[in-house]
Amino acid sequence: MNTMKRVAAYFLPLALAGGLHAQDRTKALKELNDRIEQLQKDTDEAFEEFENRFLKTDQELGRLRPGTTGFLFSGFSSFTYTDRAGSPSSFDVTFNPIFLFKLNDNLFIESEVEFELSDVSSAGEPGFETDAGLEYAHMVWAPRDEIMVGVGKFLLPFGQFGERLHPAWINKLPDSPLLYGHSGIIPMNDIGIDIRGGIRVMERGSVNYAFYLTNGPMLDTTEGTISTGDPTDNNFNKALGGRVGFLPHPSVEIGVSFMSGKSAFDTGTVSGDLDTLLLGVDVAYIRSFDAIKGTLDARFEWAQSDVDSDPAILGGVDNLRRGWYSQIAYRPDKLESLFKNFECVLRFDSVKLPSSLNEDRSRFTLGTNYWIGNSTVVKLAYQFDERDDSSQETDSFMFQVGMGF
Amino acid sequence: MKTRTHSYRRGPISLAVLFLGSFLAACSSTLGGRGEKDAAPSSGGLSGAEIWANNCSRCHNFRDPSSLSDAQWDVAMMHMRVRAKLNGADAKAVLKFLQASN
Repeated sequence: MNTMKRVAAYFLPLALAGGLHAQDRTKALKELNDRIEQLQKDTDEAFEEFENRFLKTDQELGRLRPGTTGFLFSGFSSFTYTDRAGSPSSFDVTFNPIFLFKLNDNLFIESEVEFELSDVSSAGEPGFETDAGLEYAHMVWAPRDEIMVGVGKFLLPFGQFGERLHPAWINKLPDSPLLYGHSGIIPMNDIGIDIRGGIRVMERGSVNYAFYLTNGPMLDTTEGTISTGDPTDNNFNKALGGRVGFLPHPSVEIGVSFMSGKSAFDTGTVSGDLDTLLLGVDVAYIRSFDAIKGTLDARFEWAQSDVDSDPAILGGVDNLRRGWYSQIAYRPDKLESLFKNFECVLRFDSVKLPSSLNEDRSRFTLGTNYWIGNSTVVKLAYQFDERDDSSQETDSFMFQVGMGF
Repeated sequence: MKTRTHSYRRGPISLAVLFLGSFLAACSSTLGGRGEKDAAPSSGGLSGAEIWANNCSRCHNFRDPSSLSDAQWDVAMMHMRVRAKLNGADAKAVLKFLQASN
């Protein structure tokens, strides 16, 4: 028994010491493991920070490289297939490079050139050529947050489509509304001086404005339509115009536009100037809704062009042209499936021209788009055409690829 | 050749000159004074992300911030300021947001 006691007295402390030693080792191992994990985390963060700093430094170096400071080459391109009833189908392509140069925080130049193919075939002689046109070359000085002053050739801030929505990767249908097409109600660009800017008026509201003084319109003596963009003011009279847009809420914009001037005309035997007044109203509502899992884009524009009558123009009829378009688009971009890239579009547009022309026209266009990327879209559309002269009606199928870069 | 001039008036030009003169005078009075460099982050207290979300989709899809570098966004935002007639402080707030997100 004594022997047993001696053995117990000898081994018990050893056993207790061994148990404590094992606990210490476990604790030490846990601490070591924690330190390794922390080290791994610190290393990952350091690598991430290093990578970010490297990228930033690389960008800064690129910015400081001589000859590229503040320059950005941008633009868009389109490919369009059109099949009109009674006409041969056609492929068409445009390429619009945009050159942007920021000299400093207050000085900026923007310019767009459009290259497009045009059919110049005549009877028995097929042919085409490449047209190049200066869409705009606009030098801007921004002395204050609320004011920008520009000179050059610029997109006219009349309505919304011409200045903001016409690029193929932004326009939701393959063609333009009639207001901006051949009917000549709203001109696209002109040469002169402009002042523009934006002002916040409420917590979430704002007002934007643009006023301009340009060479002004000229009158086509055959069709009675106006056009702009002539570098020469051929009637010693500038046009004054502008647009004021009000956004009571970020989703809604309401705009009012005008242009006033004199349209020069010259028939070869008679020339003169006719008072011209253009008025327009535009409304846009763009909002994303959870309830419909997508974004609704609704637009409306109305405009009229009123040119004084003259016996030399269209026989002296009242040269008043009115038109409008209404467009709604829906894209289920909140869905998690492939359908989020699809978009459906409906547009109704109409123009009413001087009665002697017999060219009043209305169209209804249905479109489906598939967005391959944020600035690349494939469009399919079918257009129903209704005209005063029903023999001219040309329902059409259109396919377009638009890409912005 | 006969020349017809219908109710020819200098009114619009005078009005325009007066208008432009007023604006240019307002502009010139600020030269050397407050410019964009010391402007507030945004004109309405909104963040750059909010202004970006509110304005860009008025015309087009959102562009991925990573599609352009900091220097490229600097130029692109000026183009967008002109096209959308953005307030300078708002444009600067959006630029900061895009440069921080790319």
